[in-house]
Amino acid sequence: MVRACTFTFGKLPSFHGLRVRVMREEVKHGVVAGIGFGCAGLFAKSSLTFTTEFSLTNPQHWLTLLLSSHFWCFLLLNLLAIMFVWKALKKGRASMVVGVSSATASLACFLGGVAFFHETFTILKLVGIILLATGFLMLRISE
Amino acid sequence: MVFWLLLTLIAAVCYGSSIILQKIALTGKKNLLEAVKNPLLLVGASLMLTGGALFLKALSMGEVSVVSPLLNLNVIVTWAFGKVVLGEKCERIEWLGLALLLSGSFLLSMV
Repeated sequence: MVRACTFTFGKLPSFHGLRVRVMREEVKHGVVAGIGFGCAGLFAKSSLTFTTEFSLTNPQHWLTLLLSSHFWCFLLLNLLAIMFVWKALKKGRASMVVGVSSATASLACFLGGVAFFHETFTILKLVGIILLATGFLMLRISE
Repeated sequence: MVFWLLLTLIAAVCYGSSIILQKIALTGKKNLLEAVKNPLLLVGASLMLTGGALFLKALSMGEVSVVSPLLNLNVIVTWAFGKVVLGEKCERIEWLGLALLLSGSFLLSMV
């Protein structure tokens, strides 16, 4: 059965008893920033594959990095993520923004590591993902 | 205390305090360009870079399985500073959610 759903601003629509909620800006921007930081980490990892031990003081290593497109993607994604953190911080709570972005970055790094770098998937990490999912769910419920 | 452990803790404090400074600089600003003129934002960004450098140094000296999860302590530092400096309030369920996020990312960062 199709029912017409009309609503005005300030009143959220209801669908089969479940209220459709709009994610708070601080959580939404924090998640986007976290995904950016996580993907940036993956690009950083792939740009460092030319050496087994990266030295901060070796100019040759820095030159190789600067010529790598992945390193520039790392910088660009980091910059975009910082912009989203700033956007979230403008109106949101610092503790919430940092908590959400840090957790999302860990998750994105882990999933990317498993998918692209064939890193191991352990029971401990599975527990970590379950905790993250429950944590996000709780933040959603609190809205 | 082991030196690299101390460096990691300082890095976490740098990250946490940098976020608070950036939050203060950004509050009430209409756009980012206006906020960039605020020296607090630059100090915050510099603290973030310092934290990054200390983290790299600690990573090169210590075990990645300890350094990486310990850096997540920056979330606790931000909670504490947010509560004391900015007077931020969270509902009980939000605290629980954040604690679960912290534990989850701690487990995921372990090698």
